[in-house]
Amino acid sequence: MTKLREAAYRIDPALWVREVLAVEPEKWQEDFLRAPRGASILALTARRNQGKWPA
Amino acid sequence: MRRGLTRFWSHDGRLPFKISGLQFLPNTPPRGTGRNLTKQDLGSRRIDQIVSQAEEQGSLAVAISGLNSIRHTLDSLMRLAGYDRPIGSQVNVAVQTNVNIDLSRITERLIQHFDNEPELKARIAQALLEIDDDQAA
Repeated sequence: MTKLREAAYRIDPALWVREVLAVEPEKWQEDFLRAPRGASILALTARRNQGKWPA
Repeated sequence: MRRGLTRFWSHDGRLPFKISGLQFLPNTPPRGTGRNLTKQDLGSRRIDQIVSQAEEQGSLAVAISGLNSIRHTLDSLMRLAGYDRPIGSQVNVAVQTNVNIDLSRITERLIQHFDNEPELKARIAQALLEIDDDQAA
């Protein structure tokens, strides 16, 4: 990875998700990735059978 | 008639100056091409001679002043090119190689400056990516 490309990914992590992970983030995910440093963000995660891991 | 100082580079090693329509040519025959000018061709001695000649002929003071300023430029170029040293002496040129460090600093400053403008950050990043793609192509 070139320094220029690395700089681009640092400035816009959503771009890194698209280019490197080959995943198209949703709008709210883009907002999350481009949030200012130190922003107060509360992330709630949930999945099915969350309490049963590890089996 | 065109007045003032006209600067041009000839390909036959002639001295690159004209004053008010008077063309000054070196006393010695041309040596090599314009890129291979000798120390004598570029030296300030000849320019001193031209300045003296211009003064004697009553040319414009502006022209003399212009020649003097060009002499300083040529002196600087001669020092950079090593013409002021004996042939074979080494000329050291310092090249700045910390471009990557500067890029990191620039990136950091961009993030700090546009941290609250996500759309702008995205556009800047996209532009950088396109530059990188162009360089790779």
